[in-house]
Amino acid sequence: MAKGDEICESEVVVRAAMYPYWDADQGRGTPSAFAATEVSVSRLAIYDLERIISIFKADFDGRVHPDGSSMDICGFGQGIVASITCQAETPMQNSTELPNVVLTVNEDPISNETGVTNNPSHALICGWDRENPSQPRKISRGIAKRLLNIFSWSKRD
Amino acid sequence: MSKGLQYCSPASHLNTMGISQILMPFQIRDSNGNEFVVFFGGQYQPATVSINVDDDKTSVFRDVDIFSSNKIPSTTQSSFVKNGLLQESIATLISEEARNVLGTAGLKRLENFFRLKSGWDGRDSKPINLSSVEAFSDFFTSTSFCPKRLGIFMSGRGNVVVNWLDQHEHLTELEFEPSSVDYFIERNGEEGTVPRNKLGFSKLFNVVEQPFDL
Repeated sequence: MAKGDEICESEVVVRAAMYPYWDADQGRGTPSAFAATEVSVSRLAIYDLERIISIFKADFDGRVHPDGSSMDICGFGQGIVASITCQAETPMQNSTELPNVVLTVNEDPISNETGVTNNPSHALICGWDRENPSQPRKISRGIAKRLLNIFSWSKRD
Repeated sequence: MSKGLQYCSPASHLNTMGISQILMPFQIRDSNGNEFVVFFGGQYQPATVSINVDDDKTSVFRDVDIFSSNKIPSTTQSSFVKNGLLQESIATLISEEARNVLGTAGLKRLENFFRLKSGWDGRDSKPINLSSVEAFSDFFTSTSFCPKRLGIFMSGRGNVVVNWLDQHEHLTELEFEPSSVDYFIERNGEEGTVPRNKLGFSKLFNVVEQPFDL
């Protein structure tokens, strides 16, 4: 297994619910947390949850101005790789065609990057063009909403 | 290249100059050593384009193009914004209509977004884009739209995102790019983009404010 390799479908990955992605006053998150070409997650097969969350926190806190100390990681979500990738394999509402994006979850260990904590468990949910699968494609907001729904979210202790 | 309202921490001698004395192009360096070349537009009004702070050398410029000279994110500057300045500048950045739709808690969240540096969610995540904040304000000013229980978020691209639920708990979401607005309507699966102008806002308003049962 190496950087870029696809991860086993049975693995569970963790996504941080950072302050900008979760409005605690309204009690909901935003699909935009998943509406990108690449979405950062971490693998429970490599590190346990506590260690992953400590990396999330170290990297997020390091990017917050001291005046913004009220911001934090609100929680985390867990998703099974097979469940993530299949969200792009059913038509959207009011359509009979498959979405134009295909999802994969790929290894992306972080090592010796400036200002970023080493994280061998780091991985990426990647969007690819269905017609041209070697071409990256932004995950649509409709698919992103599905991903938001299928992740199991927990508040951070 | 990033165009719009930007925070910069300029070289020290910039603070001794009047804004009108600055010639284009102008190179600035922030406290992390990141260098930028700034080109000023021709229509700025000095009374509205700069806010100089005595002790941290922070300024606000409107209608400038910022070219990063070493290919780093061009808006890392938001980390230099001081609390007092931030509150003042938000008050001038967004309209009363936009403040009303956000409410006190939403406004506080928006202020907090200004305190995030690039990299807050992975390598490519960006600090808040002030042109996006202005686009958000423009939309709610021009439409007087006021959805209930509006949630406010920031995307990894540094854009303001808002969403709300209809009475069937279906989500509608808008992301304000500097020159366009992306929308998603869960009740019918529709998503698209409109330009940031009167026609685009009018179309968007008609799309998002339709009763769910039409």
